[in-house]
Amino acid sequence: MTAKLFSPKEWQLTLPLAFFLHLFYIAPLAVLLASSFQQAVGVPGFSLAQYGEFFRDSTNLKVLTDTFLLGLQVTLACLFFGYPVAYVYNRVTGIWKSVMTFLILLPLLTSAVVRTFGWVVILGKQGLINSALQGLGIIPEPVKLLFTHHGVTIAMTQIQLPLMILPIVASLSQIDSRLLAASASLGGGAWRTFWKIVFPLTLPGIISGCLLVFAITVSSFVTPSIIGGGQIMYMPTLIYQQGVVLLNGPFAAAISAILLVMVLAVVVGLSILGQKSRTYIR
Amino acid sequence: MSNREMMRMSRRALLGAAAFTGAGIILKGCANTGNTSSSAESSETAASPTAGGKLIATTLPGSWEQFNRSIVVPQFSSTTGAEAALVPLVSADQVAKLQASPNSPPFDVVSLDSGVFEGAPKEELFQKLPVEKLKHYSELADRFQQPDTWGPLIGVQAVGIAYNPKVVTTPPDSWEALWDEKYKGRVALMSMKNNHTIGFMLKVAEMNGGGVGNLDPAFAAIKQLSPNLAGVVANAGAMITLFQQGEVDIAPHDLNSVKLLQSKGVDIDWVMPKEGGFALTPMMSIVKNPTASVDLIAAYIDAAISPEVQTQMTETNFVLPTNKNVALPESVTQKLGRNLDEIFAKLEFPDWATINQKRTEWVEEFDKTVQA
Repeated sequence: MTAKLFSPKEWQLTLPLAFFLHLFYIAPLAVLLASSFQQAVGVPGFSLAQYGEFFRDSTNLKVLTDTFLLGLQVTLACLFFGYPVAYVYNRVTGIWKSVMTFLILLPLLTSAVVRTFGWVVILGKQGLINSALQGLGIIPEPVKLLFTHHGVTIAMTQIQLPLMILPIVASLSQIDSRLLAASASLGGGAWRTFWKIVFPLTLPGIISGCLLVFAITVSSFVTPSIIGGGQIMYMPTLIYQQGVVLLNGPFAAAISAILLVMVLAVVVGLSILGQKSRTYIR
Repeated sequence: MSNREMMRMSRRALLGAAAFTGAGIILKGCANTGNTSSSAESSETAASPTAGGKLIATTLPGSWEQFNRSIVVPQFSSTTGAEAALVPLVSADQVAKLQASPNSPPFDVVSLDSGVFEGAPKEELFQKLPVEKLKHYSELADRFQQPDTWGPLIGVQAVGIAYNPKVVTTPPDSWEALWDEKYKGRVALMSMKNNHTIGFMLKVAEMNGGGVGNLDPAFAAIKQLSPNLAGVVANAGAMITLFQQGEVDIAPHDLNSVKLLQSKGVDIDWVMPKEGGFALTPMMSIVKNPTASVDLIAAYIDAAISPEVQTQMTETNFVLPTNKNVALPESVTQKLGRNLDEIFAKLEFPDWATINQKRTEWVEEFDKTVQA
């Protein structure tokens, strides 16, 4: 064991990745931020004009709040639907565990574009949801789901669900089963045991799941642009439109920076919560 | 013990990874030598354009990709003995990729919408077409020939009204049909970043006393359209899905996309409104600093405007030819007119240079107008 090839300080092991990230992530990000402070395309110098332009326009502000709202709704929906699945997954054994693994991972196994067009078929006025509801006599007329915010929320929830379930599964599986036995022997009912013991112990998993889902939802492009169409805009669509279609690089860079700040704010907020929950567990 | 095993495992894994990386580098090396030899070949082709070589061309996705792969590339290969690799990308993405690395462009020749091309920084990304190297350039219809050009128009896509004949039993005769209250919630538009919609808005503006200098009448009309509007879709592909699913019955679209859908059994047909349609014109241009030789690229463009290829394009894809020596099939003459002059008279060719100055303003205004 002592015969080590070289005696690494642990941090040195991260050097290759650090180098890679600096070259291909930090440097481009710096370029992006720098260009967001340009006055106009190709004009050097420092100016907050692009940011001013963004916040002056109420349409852009609506895009920002819609994007935040989408992230929030999808995260909550994923938590609501994902937690029970993770809980059940932790209880089943044998072949069912493999079956469930496959089912949970299924949304990750198809390409985002294919899934999205699938959702167009499902959400349409003559789609699966509307014809089922109409057939059952629940609604007299088809509900508009395609090209609405709700439609995007529904589709995104399905796509992001695995990213919520997996961290929760990980933290559920770390719970010492003797804790549950102890709770039961002390007279705690099933619900009380869940809320007092299990749920708090899975908070780290919940928080990392929320982080992943929120960050990926607010930055996803394909699904919101196809399901939402041109009438509901989200930040990534706006970035694409300004950067690629209208060749307005500095403004696109400024929008990207604003999106980044929003994600970072949520990440920092949730991380602080995560720290708190960890001390609570101990 | 288990730790030792892990050590051994990781050493083996490390060796494996090293071998894998090494193999990767060697393969890359081989590929590089392959490249140098082919570029040597292609510089030889300056003398004789039949000595082989390789170039990378972009293609618009969808039916254009199919067409380029099965018609243009084989034609090019049989005349030059060279190979062409195709990269499918929408117009804006082609320009974006070139802008990202103008000094070593990822492709040699682009094929994109001329509206988008006009908006790109042409001097930085492209080079003028050496017209004298193209055998077929002089066969282009007179209006498409220019002595000092960035590249030829490859075809003319006619945009008119696409409709579902099962629901819309009498073909609509005017753009105004889209506002008919019969079609409440059954109309779709592409978003304004698509040139289809720019052309449509221009047409609507002209019908209401505006034009390229004043699009306000069109924005006012779009406000009126909102009860009929089922949705504003991201792009042409999403529009196709809506027709396939029977979600919409009427929308501005191009003849070639409609014909492709029709051939797949979708209930869809196309009509040129009485106010006339408009033209979307894909073109080809040689990039600046290409890897392949300019002669080879010129041969590729020449293949695309050759009468053989253009005939196929017209007959199977319903894109109108720019080569005047192409005979129009009956399926086209029935829908559009007897000859190219008659057809082009009914199609407006938008003034992209002017449009591109206003594009940002218009896209923003459109988004505000249609916001749900």
